[in-house]
Amino acid sequence: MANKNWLDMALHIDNSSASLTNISQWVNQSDLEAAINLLDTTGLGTTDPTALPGLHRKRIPFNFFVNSTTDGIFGPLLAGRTSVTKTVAWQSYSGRVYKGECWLEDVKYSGSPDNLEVGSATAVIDSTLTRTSVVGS
Amino acid sequence: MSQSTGLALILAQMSQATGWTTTGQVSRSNWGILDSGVSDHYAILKPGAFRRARISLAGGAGANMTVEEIFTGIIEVWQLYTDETTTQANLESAMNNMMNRLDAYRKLADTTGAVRDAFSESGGEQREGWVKGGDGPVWIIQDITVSWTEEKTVALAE
Repeated sequence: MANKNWLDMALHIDNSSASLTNISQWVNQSDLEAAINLLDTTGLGTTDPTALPGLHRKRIPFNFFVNSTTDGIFGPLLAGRTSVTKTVAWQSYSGRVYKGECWLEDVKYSGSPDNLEVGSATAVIDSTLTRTSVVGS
Repeated sequence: MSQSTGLALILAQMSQATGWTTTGQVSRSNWGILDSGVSDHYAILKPGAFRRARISLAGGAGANMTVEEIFTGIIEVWQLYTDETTTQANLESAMNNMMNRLDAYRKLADTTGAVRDAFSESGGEQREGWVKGGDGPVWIIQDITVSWTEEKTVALAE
């Protein structure tokens, strides 16, 4: 079984019309993170720690190039907050997709001489993230 | 676009720099102009190194990927050696005028939108051109390296 590489990775997110859009050709870096909050239940005087699992948080931080398409999606969030979640789909490889609703947090644009104008954002998953096989619509 | 098309844009700017507007002063890989006698300084443009990089994710067959291409062109600036007092200053002036023009046209006046950024990024050491058995240099020469960046969208087949 060959190890997976970046060739089939993709990121899809709702555009301003709530249409799931493949923005991968303008994304140069993306992560999918899951973290569980652990409640410490270790008794006093004991040596080995124990825990109770708590909230399971999923986030997708990513970087992108600023152009008319990406600015149409992320630019409005620089000017004001939204009350509507976006659908996001993170493709790890062909046939493996993680999909859910998200809030976009920490939207940022930046630039420096000799470089492209770039943006970054973090998609914070609202409720569940589904492990599925297709991006869908 | 391509390296060849970008070089053509650079050549067009070279011929419009201050002190470089005489017909026949600039060429693309044509060293024959040095014998033309139309000027005491010439500039010859030739292709330099280039590199390419894939700068985006894509998502597999049927998707698009962004490729960045960074090309360079080398401008050889030739100054005829006429005397010990003015020749050096003339070369320096010719070099500066050329770079000033290219600094102002940072997209090389490209109307297609392909050139993202262009800049005279470096220069080489000055060298001398001698003739066999001669009493001194005939030319003094210095290079300017111009780099420009282009971007293309690739439709992936696999």
